Amino acid sequence: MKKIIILSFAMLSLVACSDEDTADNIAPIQTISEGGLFGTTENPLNLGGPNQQNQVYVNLSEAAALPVARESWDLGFYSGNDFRVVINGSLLMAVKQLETTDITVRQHEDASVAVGTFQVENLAYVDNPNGSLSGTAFGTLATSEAEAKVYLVNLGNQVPDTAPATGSVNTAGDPRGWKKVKIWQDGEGYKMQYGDIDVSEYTEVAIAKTPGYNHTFFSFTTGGIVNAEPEADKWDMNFTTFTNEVFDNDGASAGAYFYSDFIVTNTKAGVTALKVEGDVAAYETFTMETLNAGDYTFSDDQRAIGANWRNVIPVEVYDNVFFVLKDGAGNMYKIKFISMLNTDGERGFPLFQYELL
Amino acid sequence: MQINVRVLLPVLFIATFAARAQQTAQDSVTATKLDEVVVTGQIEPQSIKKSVFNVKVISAEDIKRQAGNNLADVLNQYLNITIQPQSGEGRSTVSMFGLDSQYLKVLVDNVPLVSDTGLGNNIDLTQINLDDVQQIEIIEGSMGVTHGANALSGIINIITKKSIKNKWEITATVQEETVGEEYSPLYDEGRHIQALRVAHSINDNWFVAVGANRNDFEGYKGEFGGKEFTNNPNNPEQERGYSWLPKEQYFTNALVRYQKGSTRLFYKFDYFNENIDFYNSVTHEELQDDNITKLIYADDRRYFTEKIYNHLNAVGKVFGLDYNASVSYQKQQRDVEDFKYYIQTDTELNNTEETYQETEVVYSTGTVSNFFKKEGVDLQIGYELVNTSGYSSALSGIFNDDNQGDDDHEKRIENYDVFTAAEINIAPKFSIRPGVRYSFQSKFDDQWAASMGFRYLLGKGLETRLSYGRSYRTPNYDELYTYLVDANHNLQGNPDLVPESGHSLETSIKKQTFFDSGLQLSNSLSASFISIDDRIEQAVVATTPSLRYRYINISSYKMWNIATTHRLVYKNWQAKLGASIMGISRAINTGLVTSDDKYLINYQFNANVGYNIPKWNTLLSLYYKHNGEQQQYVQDGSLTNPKFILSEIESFGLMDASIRKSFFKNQFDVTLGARNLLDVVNIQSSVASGGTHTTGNTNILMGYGRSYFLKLSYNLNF
Repeated sequence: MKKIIILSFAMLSLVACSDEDTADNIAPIQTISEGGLFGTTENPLNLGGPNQQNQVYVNLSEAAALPVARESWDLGFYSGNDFRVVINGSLLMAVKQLETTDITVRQHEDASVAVGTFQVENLAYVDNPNGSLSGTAFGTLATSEAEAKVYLVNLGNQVPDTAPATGSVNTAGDPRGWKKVKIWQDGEGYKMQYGDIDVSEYTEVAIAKTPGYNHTFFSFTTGGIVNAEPEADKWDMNFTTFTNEVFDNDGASAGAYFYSDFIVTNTKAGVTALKVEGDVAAYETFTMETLNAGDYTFSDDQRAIGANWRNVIPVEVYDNVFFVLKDGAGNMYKIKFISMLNTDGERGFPLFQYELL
Repeated sequence: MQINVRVLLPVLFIATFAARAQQTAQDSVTATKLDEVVVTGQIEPQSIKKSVFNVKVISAEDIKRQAGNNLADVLNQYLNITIQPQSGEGRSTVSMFGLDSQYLKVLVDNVPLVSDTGLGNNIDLTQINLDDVQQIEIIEGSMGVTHGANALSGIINIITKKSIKNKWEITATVQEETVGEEYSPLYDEGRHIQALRVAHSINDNWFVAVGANRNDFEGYKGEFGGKEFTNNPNNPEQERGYSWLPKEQYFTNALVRYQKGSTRLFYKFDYFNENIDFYNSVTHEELQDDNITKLIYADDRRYFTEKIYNHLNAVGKVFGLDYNASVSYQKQQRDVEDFKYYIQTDTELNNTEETYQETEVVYSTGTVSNFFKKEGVDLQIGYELVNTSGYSSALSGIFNDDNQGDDDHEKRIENYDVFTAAEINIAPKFSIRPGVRYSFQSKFDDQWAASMGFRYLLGKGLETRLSYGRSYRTPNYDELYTYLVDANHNLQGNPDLVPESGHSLETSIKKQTFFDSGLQLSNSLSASFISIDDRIEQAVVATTPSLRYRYINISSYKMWNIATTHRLVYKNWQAKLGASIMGISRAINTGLVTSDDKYLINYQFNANVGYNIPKWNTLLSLYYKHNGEQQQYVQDGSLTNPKFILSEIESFGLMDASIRKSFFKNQFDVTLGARNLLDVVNIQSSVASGGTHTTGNTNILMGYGRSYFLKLSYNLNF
C-alpha cells in the first residue's frame, strides 16, 4: 500500500538527491597505535558479563588480569600492621555492632542493616567506601574474647545467573541470609566465633595474617580460609561491584548504595590515581612532562577511578576523561576507557587502553 | 543544505503578488456564520444556540487560515489548551485545563480514535490529518455520559465532510514549510506536504471521497547536531540528534456515503503510516577486531506506526424512532527497530525489530431517540461497547522482572455501557438535560457517569447555560504494570488501582447581537470548575527497609477557570478576542510529603484578526495566543526529606500570520504564512527537579522557532 502512495506522490513532487556535506561534524576514524589493551579477546578481563560475578584484579606492569568469584569470600582479615576486618561490599554485605558480648544469644534480622535503604545511618554498617581501614564497619577490634561485641551480619545478596535485558545489569540476587559474629585480636592473629542468628550454637576459628597479602579471606560458605586476591604488590586496580555512598540531588548523603561497573585502586599497597579531563588527543599527548607541569594530585581514595569513567543512565563511557595510576613501585600509567559493552550491547565488558608514562 | 530564508521569502512574495492582475471580482471568502450546527453531545444535530452544552467550533475556514495540516497545527491557538511536544518519541499531545491528554477524549465522527496505548486518549495530534474535516467541535468539562471513560477535562470531536456542493471536487495541495531556519526545497530539511483529495457526488444518494496526504517533517535540529554527527568532548554543548524527531507520515482515507430519505449510511476507512527516526544523543566508541581501529556508533531507533480506522455508521428511522449506530474496528501498531549506527562509516548493524505498542479496538455505539412525539421532550437511550486489546513491550516503559529482564504486557479491557439522556424544554426558553451512564467493566469496578444541563434563553440574543458532569479515568499501563526492583530501587505499578473520578461544573452566558450596520457581535463569559479525587500518583509507600514507590490513588486536583470570548464580524473584518484565568490546586501526595494545595493562577489570552480584500481576492489573517507565567509545585532533590518548592514556567506567546489569495475563479489558492513569529523554542522553568539519576532540566520544549510556509492548492470543482 505504501508503495502505491509513494508512486503517486512522486508525480506530485520532484524529488532530487544530493550528497550531504556533513563530514565536518564527524570525527575521523581513530586508531590505537601505542600501549596495551585490556578487555579484548586476546587480553580479556572476564568480569562475567551483565551479572558481573567476578572481581577482576589487574596488574598493569605484568599485563595480567585475575578474575575471582565475588561470592567466594565474606570477610577479609587485614594482614598488615593493624587488626582490621573488612566485609565483602561487592555482595551488599552490612554489619551492625550489638550490645551483647554473648555469641550464644539468638538474634533477629534487622532490615535497616542493609545497603540501598536511602537512610544515611546505614553508612555505619558498611566499610568506608574510600577504603581507609580506620573506617571499617567492624571498627577497632577488641583484644579479648570477653570484651568483643557480637555483630549482626547481613550477608548481602547472591550473585544471580539470570541474564537481564540487553544493556542492563543484574548483579544482586536473592538474599544470602544472616550471621552473628564475634571477632577479637588474638596475639598476632584473629579469633572469630560465628553462627546462625536463630541458634545458640557457634563455631570458633583462628585466623592468621598472610604476609605479602592485604588480607586473609574467610568464607562462611566453606567455613575456611580462601584465596581471593593476588599478592598485595601484584595488582593495581580491581573491577568489581561495590558498596558506595550515594547523594541525592540536593547533595545530601542518602546512605550506602550498590554500584556496578566500579573500579577500586589498591590503596592498601600504595597505589594512587588521578583523573585528567581531556579528550583522546589530550590522552595521546600526555607525558610525564605534562604530569609534572600540571596541577595534579594523586588520590589515595580507592575510588579515584571508581565510577568516574562511566555513566549508567544512559550507559556511556565518558570520552572527556582519562586517568593516571601510580603503582606501588612508582610506575605511572595513563589509562583511557574505551567501552563498557560488548559488540552485542551487553554490560560487563569494559575495555581500556593504557601506557607506561 | 540550508537555504537562507531571508533570501527565499522575497522571492515568494513576488510570486504571490505578480499574479495580482488576474484577480476576479468574485467574493471568495464565505461570510462567517455565527450560528453553526453542532452534533457533539446532542441528541439530534442542532444549532449551536439550542445546544445545552457549550460547544466551541473550529471551522474548516479557521483551519485553512492557519494552513493546518494536522490537529497540532491548529489547537495551540485556543484557550485552555496546550500542545505538549514529546521529543523522545516524536509525539505531540494535548492538555486541557492543565490536565494531560489522558483526561481529554479525541473522537472522529463521534467515535473515539485509537492511540498507541488506548482509545480516545493520549492521542498524538500530529497523526490526525485535517484534509477531510468539516469542523472540529470542542466541549469543555466532563462528558462521561455521552462519551464514556476518560472524558474528564473535555472532548474534541472531529467531524468529517460527508457531502459536497458540486458534482466533483478535486483538490491538490503542495505545502512547503521551513522548520525554524532549517529548510531545503522539497526534501531533506523542512516540512514538505503533498495532498490530493477527490470527492464525487454520484447522484442524490451516493457520495464517495478519497484522499491521500504525505507529511514529510524532516525534524528540527536546533542546538543538536543531527544524524551525521559525533559528539566532541571539547564541545559538550552540542550533542548528536534532533530537538524534534524527523518523521514521515502517509494519510489515506476513503468514504462512501449513501443517503435516501431519512436514512444515511456511511463507511469510512483510514490508513495511516508513519516512520519516526530517533537519533541517540549518546555516542559510543567501539574497538574493532583488529584491536587498532575505533569506530563511533550510536544506538538509534526507528518507530513504524500503522493505523487502520474503519467506521460504519447508520442514521435513520425505525418504528418511528430515530436511531444512530456506529460500528468501528481500529488498530494502531507501533513497531520499533533498534540498531547500531556507525556514524563514520554510515553503516547499520544488529538491526532488531519488535512490536513496541499495539492497540486493537472493536467498538460500537448506538442511540435511539424521539420516543415522545411531543415537541419539547426528547429522550435518548444508548449503548457503548468497547473491547480493547493492548500490548506494551518492555521497551515502552519500566516493565522489568526480578532479574532486570524485559517483561512485556498484554491486556484486554472490555466495557459495556448503557446511557440515557433527556432534553426537556420546560418552557420555550428553558431546557434541561439530565443524563446518566452505567459502565460494566471487565478489569475495574463498574463505573458510572452522570450529567445535568440547563439552558435558558433570556431573549435579545442572550443565552445562559449551566452543566454538571461526573466522569472517570481508568489507569494506564505505566500505572498498572511498572516494575523496577533492583538492589537499590523499588518502584512498582499497582494492578489494584481504581479509576479516578472527577466532577465538572460549567456555567456560561453568551450574547449575540446583530446591528443594522451589518456588525455582528458574539460575546461570552464562562466559569468552570473541575475536581478530581483519587488521582493516581507515584508515591512512597514504605521507607524501611528501603524507599518503596508505588502508584496509588492518593492525590487530588481542583481547577477553576473563568474565560471570556468576543467575536466580531463587520464588513470585511472579523476578529476574535479571548482571555481566561485559571486557578489550579494540586495536592500532590508523594507519601513523604504533600504539596501545598493553594490555587496557582495563570492566564491566557488569544486574539485573531482576519481582513478580506475582495478586490484582490485576498484574506489576511493574524493569530496570537499568550500563555501567562505558570506556577507549579515540584519536589526538590532531597530523597529522605523532600519538600515541595514553587517553580515558575515563563510566559510565552505564539503568533501565526498568513495571506491567502485566490486566482482563476478560486481554482488556485496560494497561502503564504509564518508560524511562531515570536520564535519560541524552549521555555524556561526556574526550578529544576529530578530523581536519583536525572539532572534537572530547566528547558521545556515548546516549538521549533519561527517558520514560514507556502501552500499551493488547486481546486477543481464542476
